[in-house]
Parts: sequence; structure tokens; C-alpha cells
Amino acid sequence: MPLAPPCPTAATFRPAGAAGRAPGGAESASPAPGDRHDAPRPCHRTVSADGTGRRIVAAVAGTASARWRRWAGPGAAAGGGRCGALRPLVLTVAGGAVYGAALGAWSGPRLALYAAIKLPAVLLLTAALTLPFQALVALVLGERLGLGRAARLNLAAFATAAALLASLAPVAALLSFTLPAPSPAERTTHNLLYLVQTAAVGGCGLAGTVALGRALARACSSRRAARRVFAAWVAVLALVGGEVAWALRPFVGSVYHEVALLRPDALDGNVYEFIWTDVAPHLLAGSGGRDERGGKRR
Amino acid sequence: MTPAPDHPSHPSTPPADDRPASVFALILARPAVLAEARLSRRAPWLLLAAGLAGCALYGALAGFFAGGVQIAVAALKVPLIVALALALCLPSFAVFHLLAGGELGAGGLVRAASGFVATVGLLLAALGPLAWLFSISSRWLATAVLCHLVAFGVALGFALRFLRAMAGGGAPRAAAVVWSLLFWLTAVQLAAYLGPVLVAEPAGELFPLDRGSFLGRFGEILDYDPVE
Repeated sequence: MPLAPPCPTAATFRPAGAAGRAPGGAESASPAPGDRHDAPRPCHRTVSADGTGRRIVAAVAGTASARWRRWAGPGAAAGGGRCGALRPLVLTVAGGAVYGAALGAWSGPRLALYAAIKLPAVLLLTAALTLPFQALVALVLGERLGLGRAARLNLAAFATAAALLASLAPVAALLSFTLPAPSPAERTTHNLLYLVQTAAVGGCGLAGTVALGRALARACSSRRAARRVFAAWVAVLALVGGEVAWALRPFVGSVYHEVALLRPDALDGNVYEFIWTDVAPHLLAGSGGRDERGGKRR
Repeated sequence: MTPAPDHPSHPSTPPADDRPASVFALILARPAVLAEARLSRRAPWLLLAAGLAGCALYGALAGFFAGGVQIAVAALKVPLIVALALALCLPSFAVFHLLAGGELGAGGLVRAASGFVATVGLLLAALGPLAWLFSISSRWLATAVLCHLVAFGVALGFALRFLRAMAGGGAPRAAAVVWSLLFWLTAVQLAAYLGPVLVAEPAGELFPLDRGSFLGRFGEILDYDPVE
């Protein structure tokens, strides 16, 4: 695969932490021996179709170690095109499924199975629904990324988050199996579990967002453009991701409702309406947004 | 990772042998060197075994709070808690490190994890006499538990120092801090699940496996009557 000539300005867009390591372990500006992705770097301004997959995955993994790059990079790099997205896609689905199963295990094996299907679905649906807007907004902001590149950038970021989620799955499963089983008396346990799992998913999502930001810094023509595209993309991902997750609930389960694949009222009101009408008034009034049974209406 | 500076009495070349004294000296005094030390395959197992032995010793001394059979029970449960917490947190340890830009390979990660447990175990063993003193002199379970949590926190603090040195600079160090917190929380939840450690279960079961959060267990601990 022909590479574009090394770009003299590429180093200025290199993310922190992507510097090569000297054999002795000290940070250096030169690439580490054998580190293919840090070897003469193609200019981000000259985009060739077959180099797209390589550049994007290398850019995302540029924040990570050479070992991670070797694992997540070459498969994508070798194929470009569809193959460039295959490994991040598999990682996103597998990682999301593993964590989803651990998440739903608190309410039993049936919800574990449902959540193992639904969590990857949340990630992929969010990516699919936001993709047209992301490509368009990038174009409006002066970056011709296209649907394919936008998809690969998103998938690589989701893959980072999913890998982290999968690594946390044993701990999530520990909580699911050692905390008291769901019952109306275990509202506090449910809320605690919900809080912990939300924090874990949020933290992993944040790591994915950081990876996306660094990838965009390489894919865009300037830092300023990258920042603007990043802000627009993250805003729409957060907005849509929240609603998709809300529509596909439950994941942890409920102390009142039976286990179900989807709630009967899944599309009856969106998450922002719920926050506006049910959560915010009670927060402002200093109480807890309870329904007639004393529980939060989820 | 910045190599440790040479010291006249500590040559920078790592020892080729894996005698326990050499390995433990590396863990405690020059943890950064362990990443590149030429150790045999059995060295990580040696570190793990030493760490778990230290935990068992600490557990036995902590068991003097209730005395009798509980000495053996605590000696069994403390290393079990640490070993299980490590097993559950090992995947996140590797992924955190790699995503943060760390350059440790599989061997380095295994050494780091086993060295982490060894540091925790050795520190706990060193704190054993203090644990024994507070175990035999405390009347309230809550006081004894608090003492052990502080001891565990101190041991983890030193183990974190070891991990940070192994991890290198920048983001991998920060990842090590986050992971240590995760390990601590996992170990405490496991202690709540596999417990009680310090006092005997009224029904006499070794592992009652009652489901509950560690926060709930702390609430129950406050209700225990003082030991006469």
C-alpha cells in the first residue's frame, strides 16, 4: 500500500503521549523501533482511500501503547475500507455485550442476555443515527471527512470505550452477584448499583471521547477545526446516546417492574422530558422524584 | 519510563538471579528495575506466593480479635480476598495500562501484578504486630475494622508506589492510581461478601455468602456488641 510522503508538519499535530519510547524507556521524540504506526508518518493532509483505515486506527491508538496499536492497528491498516472498521466493530460489539451481561446479571440471566444484546445496540444505534449529521457538520466546518471516515473514527472511539467496559466486566459482575437481589425493599441497593454502573459507563465513554478527540486532531486540517468538529460530534453523540439508552432500558433492572426486553412505554416520552418533568422539579424542591409507590419512575 | 539512576551500591544492571532476597529487594527498593529485570518464569509465582503468605500472616494476627478458630479463618480469608480481587481486576489492569500508553508486555504486566500483591503482602506482614496489638486490645469491632482498613490502605499506598514506578511516566501512572482504587473497592466488596473475617458467623458457616454491599456491612458492624 503506497504511503503518502512524510509530512514535515505532522509532528505538530501529534497527540501528547504518542511520542515514541526509547529502548531504555525514556520518552523521546523519535519513534520506537518496530513501531510501524509511528514510522514515517503520512501527512494527514494528503488522504488516500487505502490509507484511511490505517491513519484513523493509528490516530485513535496513537494515545495508546505500541502493543495496543499492534493488536488493534494492523488488521485495520492492512485492509483499509471495510476491513478498517471490522476490528473496532467486533471489539465494540463484544466489549459491549460482555459488560451488558454483567450489568443485567443483577436481575437474573434473562436480563443479562437482554442487556448483552442491548448495550452493543445502544453504541451502534447511536453511531448510526448520528453519522449523517457528523459527516455534514464536518463538511460545514471545512473538513471533508465523509461518511466512511466518520464511521471509522466513531467506531474506533467506541471500541476504546468497549474495551475498557469489557475489562471492568468482572468487577461489575461481582457487584451484580454479591449485592442483594432486586426487591421493593432494595431500592437503595438498586440506586447504588445504578449510580456505580452509570459512573463506570460514563468514565469509559469519556475515555472513548478522548480517543475521538485525538483522532480528530490528526484527521482534521487544523487544531481549531478539529476542536469545532469534536465539540459538535460529542454534543450530538451525548444527546442521541442518552435517548437511545433511555429507549432501550432496562439494563440494570428495576425493583418494581418485571424483567423485559423493552419497557412498554419505551418510546412514550424521551429522557429529556423525563428529566424536565420528573427529575428537575424534585431536585429544585429538595425531594427525590418519587412515584405513588415511593420509587423513582424509571 | 525513566530508568532509575545509578547508585554506587546498586548497580543499574538488574540481577540475573531470582533468589527471593534479590527479588524482594527489587520490589521494595527499586521497583522500576523489576520491569526490565531478567527473572525466571517462576519469579512472578514466587512474588504472588510471598504476597499471599504475608496476607495470611496478617490475617492470622488480625484473627486474635476473636481468637480461637477465627485466627485460622482470618488467615484463610485475607489472602483469598486479595487473590480474588486481583483475579477480577487483572483484565482492567492490562487494558488501563495499554490504553494509557504503557509499554509493559504480558510478562511485565504479570510481574507488575504479582509485585503489587507481593508489596501488599509484605507491607501487611510488616504491619502484623500492630494488627495483633490492636486486635487483642480493641473491644469494639468497628474500631478493629477501622484499624485494618487503615493498614490495608497503607499497604495499598506502598503497592501503588510500586505500580507507578513499574508503569512509567504520565498517563500509565494515572491509570495505575485509578486501578488501585478499583482494586481497593473490589477487595472491600469481596471482604463483605466472603466475611465475616474478624468475628465468627453466628451460624458457624465459614462462607455464609450473604449478599450485601460493603456499606451495608459497615452499618452492621456498628451494631456489634463489644467483646468482653
